[in-house]
Amino acid sequence: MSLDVDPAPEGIDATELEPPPRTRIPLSAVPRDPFFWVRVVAMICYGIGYVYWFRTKGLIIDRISVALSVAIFLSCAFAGKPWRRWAILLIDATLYALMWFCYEMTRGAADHLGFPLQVQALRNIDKFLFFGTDPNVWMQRRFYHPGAAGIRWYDDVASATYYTHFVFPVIAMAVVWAASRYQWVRFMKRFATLLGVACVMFVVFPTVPPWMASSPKYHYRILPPLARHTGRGFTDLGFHGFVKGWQQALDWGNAIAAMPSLHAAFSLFVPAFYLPWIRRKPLKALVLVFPLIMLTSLVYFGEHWVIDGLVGWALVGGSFWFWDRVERWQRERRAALALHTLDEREAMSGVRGASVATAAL
Amino acid sequence: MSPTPPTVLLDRSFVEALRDDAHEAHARVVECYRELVDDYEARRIRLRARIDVLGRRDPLFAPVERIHIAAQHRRAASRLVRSPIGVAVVVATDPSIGHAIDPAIGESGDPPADVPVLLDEDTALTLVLMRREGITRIATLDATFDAFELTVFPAA
Repeated sequence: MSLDVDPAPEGIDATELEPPPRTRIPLSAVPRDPFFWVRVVAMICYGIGYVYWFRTKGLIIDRISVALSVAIFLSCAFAGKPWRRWAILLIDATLYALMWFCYEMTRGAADHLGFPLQVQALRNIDKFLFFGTDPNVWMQRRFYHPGAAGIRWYDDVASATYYTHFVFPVIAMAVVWAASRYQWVRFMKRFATLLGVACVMFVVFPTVPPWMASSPKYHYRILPPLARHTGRGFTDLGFHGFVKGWQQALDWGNAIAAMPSLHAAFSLFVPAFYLPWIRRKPLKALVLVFPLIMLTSLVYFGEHWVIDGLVGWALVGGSFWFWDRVERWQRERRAALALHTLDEREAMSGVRGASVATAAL
Repeated sequence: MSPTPPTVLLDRSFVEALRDDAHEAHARVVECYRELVDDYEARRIRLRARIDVLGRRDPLFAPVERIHIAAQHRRAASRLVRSPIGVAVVVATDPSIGHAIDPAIGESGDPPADVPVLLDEDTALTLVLMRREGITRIATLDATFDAFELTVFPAA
């Protein structure tokens, strides 16, 4: 929409023609929702409580506790909003919980559904990508130093990056949920698609991760022994409680649900979703370094093959591409419907006008 | 992928003029709506309107999202009508009273007893919803909205 202004006649100062400036009332003069500050204060208190809990008792990691913590946050974020918004929130939350439930059930059952375990194929792809070298083995030989004294700064960075997987996606989701349902729907369509396709792949391609493929405890032993030292950097940073909690949570995870890597996928998903809000290009570039650090960490820890991470990224790209196309198609269809209806009604009113004119003659 | 496009709220006066081909501003509103729909298709804007303004489903408004009205919005609108800002709108829009006003009147001034409050509940409800939904653009024929710092369509 343009606001074209007619040019002033020659020889006349345009400013002389302008009417005196008129005071307009800012929309902020309309009182805001009285519960606005209640929500702000409640969310700040929640944030302080969350960080305190994180430092003293470790991160909230099991699904029930995560669900409860998200529910408390949303209660703070929706305090004082109309009942209809609460009803929609309840429906959204039910679908959200259902999505995670399906994910957990499918992932847990992935190795009982009869599809052949992938072991050697993934290793071969990685070796092909890295000119005959096993990247997991190469990284551990080059950078890993056993024992507490062997912890280097990059162990801390890699470990911290690895564990962001349990925090950032949930925070990103909760923030977008509280801020805008429009964006929440966009986020969840892409996220649920990613999870859904990942679950299908867990079933169809049950994949042995590198640490298991190298472990003397299992019969695969296609790699030299690898250390699974994911938690030691985080322990070094002082997050004992979290590491303990995470190891307990592993008990009901599925170790062979490695393809695709959701660690790699989520580390790209969240920055990719929020990227349009970041204006500065160097910051955008910095944000996109994060998925690279995540994949490097996963390979270093022996948690994933490189190809797991690349497929995870590809699924993120595919999910965004798919929903961008669908949303564009929906916009075009709705716009076409509106304009078609407008044209039809204009034509009918034109015919009606002509009939009236003819009758008058 | 992009942040939320800005919303243009379709006001009652705009929707009624669009539906009524005998309305004096019909042609202008149709032209404006075509441009708005083009902007919607290009994802430059979102189109939204109050659910009571749109009424039952109409393909003419297929791109328009509905804003539901809650009792708390109506109560806030009633309070707004009786508040000093209601008087400020009268002063700003009624040339016989004058065009210059002190914006602070909306915050702290008391309504003079002899000035009639002309901000009706329907307009106040729209303003309340705009404030709460963070909407600063409106498609309207109602001059009351000119008194506010809003982008108004169709442009005068």
